Amino acid sequence: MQALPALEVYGVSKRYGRLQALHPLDLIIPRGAVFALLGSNGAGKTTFMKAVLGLVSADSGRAVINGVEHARPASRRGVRYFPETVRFGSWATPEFMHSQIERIRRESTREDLLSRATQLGCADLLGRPFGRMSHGQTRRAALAIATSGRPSMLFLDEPSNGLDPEGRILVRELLRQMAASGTTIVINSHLLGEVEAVCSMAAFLCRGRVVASGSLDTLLRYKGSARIESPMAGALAERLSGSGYEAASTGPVVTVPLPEGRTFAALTAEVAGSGIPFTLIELARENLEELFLRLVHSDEEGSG
Amino acid sequence: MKNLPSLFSVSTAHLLRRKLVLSAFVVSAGFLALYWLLCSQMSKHGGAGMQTSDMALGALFMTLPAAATLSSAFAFILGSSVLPDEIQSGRAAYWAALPVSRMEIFTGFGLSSLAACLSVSLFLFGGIVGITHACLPYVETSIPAAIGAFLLWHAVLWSSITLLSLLVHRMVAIIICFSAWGISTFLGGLAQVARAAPGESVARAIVTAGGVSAVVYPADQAFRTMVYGLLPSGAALDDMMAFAGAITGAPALQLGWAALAAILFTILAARRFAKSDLG
Repeated sequence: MQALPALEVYGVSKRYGRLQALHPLDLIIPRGAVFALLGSNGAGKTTFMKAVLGLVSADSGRAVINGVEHARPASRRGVRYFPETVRFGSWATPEFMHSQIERIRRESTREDLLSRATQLGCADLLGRPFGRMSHGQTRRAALAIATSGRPSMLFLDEPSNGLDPEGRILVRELLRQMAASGTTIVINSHLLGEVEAVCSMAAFLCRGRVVASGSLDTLLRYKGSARIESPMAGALAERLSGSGYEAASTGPVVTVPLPEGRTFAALTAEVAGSGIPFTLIELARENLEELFLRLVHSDEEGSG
Repeated sequence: MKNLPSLFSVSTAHLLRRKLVLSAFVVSAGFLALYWLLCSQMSKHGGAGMQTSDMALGALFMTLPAAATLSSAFAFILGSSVLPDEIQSGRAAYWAALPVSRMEIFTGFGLSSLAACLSVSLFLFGGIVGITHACLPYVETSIPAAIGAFLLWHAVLWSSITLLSLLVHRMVAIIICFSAWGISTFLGGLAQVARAAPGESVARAIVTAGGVSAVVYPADQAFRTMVYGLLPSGAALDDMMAFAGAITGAPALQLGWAALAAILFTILAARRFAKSDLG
């Protein structure tokens, strides 16, 4: 029997006054996916999360979380939300807030919080009032509260916002680990490098509409070039240039645009026959940033 | 509603940490200290031949309206400090993302603010009655009426500020409710005196205005009935002022309307909160 999707969204829309923040939107997120919501500012990503969680009342449509209609409080069992802005009382400590929240959700213990805080490098902050923390420390501590225990689904709105590089790396590792243990993760983020590093699927929103969605493998287009990784990249680039390719090396990577009439298979044979060691050869694909810009521009051209 | 006790205690913990309730208790304690000075002086130097119940009537008559002003101010500040503050700070979204219904959040958080209002008021009015009894012994007209009306009065104050603070900015809501309370008390008092001069066109107009204010903001009727219940029975001054109807409870119909209005305001507030966009 096929597992239920973690999230099913059918025709959910939301209007704020004259602004149609979300046009009727359909989306299905499989269980265990790490799903990115991408789009420009004001594209509707946060509104989408809030509508699905029932924090804003959708004008139309319905959502089903783990098989339960989102209008029912039970749909949020095992589901965690980490908002973009966290404003706990300045006197409150992470330990206090966790204990208050756990009185209601009853899903994680103090030890779970400590373990998560240790993982995020903020165990020493658990007893400190939020008013005496920096923005980044507040975010780390709040993320530890939101992810403590074993949630089945996470909604993270800009989780790395305000974090230092070390914090971002720790968050990335945390998300990888949680995804590996089966947690479905929905991330709204502008940090495309991070999204690319942890997400398996994405949806691009432009002015409240989904303009593309699916696995990153299918969304990212192949470009007309190959990418080779070799410990002798310079020598390989020279060899390929001698064979009529316009190869260029940067560090251990050789980039080779495929000329008209030459196939990837022919290039692979050429590299293999060169006798120069290489560890990877692949068709280069656009990165998430390039995909993002392509989709946003095509949407602007389409509406213009 | 199984999460109600948890939400109530969460909200109460937040309210207590913000020192609002403590401040209200401290101000009330100061007020009571001054009242104790007044009563003890009256007890020592009371007029010859005056009954203690008359002195108690005088002390209460001077003090209760001032205490009502304090108490209503606390009710408006505390009543508007919980749900609107949770919404404006974004914490309401945090609570609403938990496996609880909006109705549970409204009820749990609302009850904690109501409990805070009632606790402070009970301390203030209970203190006034206690001090009066200690210094100027007397017998109340009707304790059950006073208790019932006390609860009803606070139900109207709390439900109106809860509803309004979910519709407009908190400060605007406080100003509107405080003005409505002040006007209804003023017109309610005027209307009682005006009833002593039936037939006069001005008096009729005042009585009509008092009736309208009783419908629009029915807190005064409950407060007046509470005062009636707390005042001494059989005081000579009471008889002297009875001609003006100044010391009487409100008609049952008006009290019924006050109860209905409190329920109506609460239902509207709950509906408003259920449809609010959070975060």
